[in-house]
Amino acid sequence: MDHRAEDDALVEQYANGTLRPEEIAPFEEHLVGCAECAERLLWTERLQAGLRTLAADAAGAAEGAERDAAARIAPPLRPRRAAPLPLALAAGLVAALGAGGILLHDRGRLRREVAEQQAGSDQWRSRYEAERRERETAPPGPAAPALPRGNVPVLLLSAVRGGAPRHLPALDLVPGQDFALLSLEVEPEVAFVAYAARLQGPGAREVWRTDDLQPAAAAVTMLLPAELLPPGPYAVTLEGVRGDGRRVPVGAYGFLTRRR
Amino acid sequence: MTAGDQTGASLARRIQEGEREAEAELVRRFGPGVSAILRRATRDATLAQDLYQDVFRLAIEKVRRGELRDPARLPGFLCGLARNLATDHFRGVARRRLEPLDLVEPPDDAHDPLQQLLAREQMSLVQQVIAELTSDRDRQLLFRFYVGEEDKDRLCRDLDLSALHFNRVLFRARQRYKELYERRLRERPPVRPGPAGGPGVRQT
Repeated sequence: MDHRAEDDALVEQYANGTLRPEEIAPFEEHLVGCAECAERLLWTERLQAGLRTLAADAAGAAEGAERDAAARIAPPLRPRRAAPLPLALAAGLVAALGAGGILLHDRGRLRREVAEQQAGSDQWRSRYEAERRERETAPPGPAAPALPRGNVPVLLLSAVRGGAPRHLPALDLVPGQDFALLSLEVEPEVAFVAYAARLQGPGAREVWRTDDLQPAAAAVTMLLPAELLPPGPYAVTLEGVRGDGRRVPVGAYGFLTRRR
Repeated sequence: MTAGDQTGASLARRIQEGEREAEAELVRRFGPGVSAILRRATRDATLAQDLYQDVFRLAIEKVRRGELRDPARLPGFLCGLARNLATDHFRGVARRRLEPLDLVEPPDDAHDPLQQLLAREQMSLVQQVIAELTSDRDRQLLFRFYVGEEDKDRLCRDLDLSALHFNRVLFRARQRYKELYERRLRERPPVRPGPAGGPGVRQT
């Protein structure tokens, strides 16, 4: 492989996990024998790790500052064509770095974005409540026939052990994929009559919870609408439910969703 | 046979002849690349280090025994060995009892003061890199690509960037980070772990 500008792009894509699958093996074979690319990759990884650490630190600070407004944001019930989380987060992170005028400008922009999301969210909450009341009072109709679905992405998760993971498994969603299936590895316990799960998204916002998961083949599964999973980090907390109703922590599962 | 192939074939021959310096050269020459593959495959620095030792131990044993089918493809052999060892490790991991854990929060180094110190240093370097960028768009590019893991083509469309500009921003950021990091190393002595439970201390 001759070194050209495109090769730098390959290093970046490899570090970021966005290299095409068919390009990975040839690139890795080159990487082993090329000190230059190995060094480029090392510094890219270090820069990436630094940015992630900074992002985590600044996200925590930004969340604290915007907690009241952000806490009332609920996920919309239909896909909205707003900026994905990374854009809002990136704007907030740039603000949190304290770069003078950028700080004031982007804090204002972040507040406006939060306010817009909250206003939109309030509208959807009202609509959802109206629809829910309508469903509860309407007579039950014939069950709609279940339609088969293809191209449902599946993510297999193992419990996080020994503290927060350095890198989260990624769930890649492409346009047209309306659902995603999460399979959480568990060790079946006869004492548990069910499992309760709580799914939290970016900013520790609760996305969904349930308390009647039943294990099958040493896993519990959840089929989630893709619209509930905008890009960002997620965590599932799993508890075992005993016959007497008491709950026992079982584990935590982390993952990241990405739009392709 | 390319120059690289000749290097691999030559090294393999010298190792088979019992030359110890050739074994050290094997590690020096191919170690960074093997390490990179293992970091990617394991996402765990400690595990990657353990497997790194295994890769070269096994590779040297096989070469000594003449089991390398195509000495010219020594880099490819090492690459495959690294991947296979990583795969075998994860297949062989025994199930352990799940422990109740906190939610997935940003990495919690509360129990590792040295890691906290290193993370703070890392952050200050990255902050300087970010602050030196001339546009908000470039800053967003770095965060969205490296933290949000967004696709390059999509970022270029969203931020109205050419692919060339995209590559240039990443290249400059990486180079600047490296400069700052190396300057920091020269200016300050390295941190070594302090007494158990205490922060890392700088050597004097």
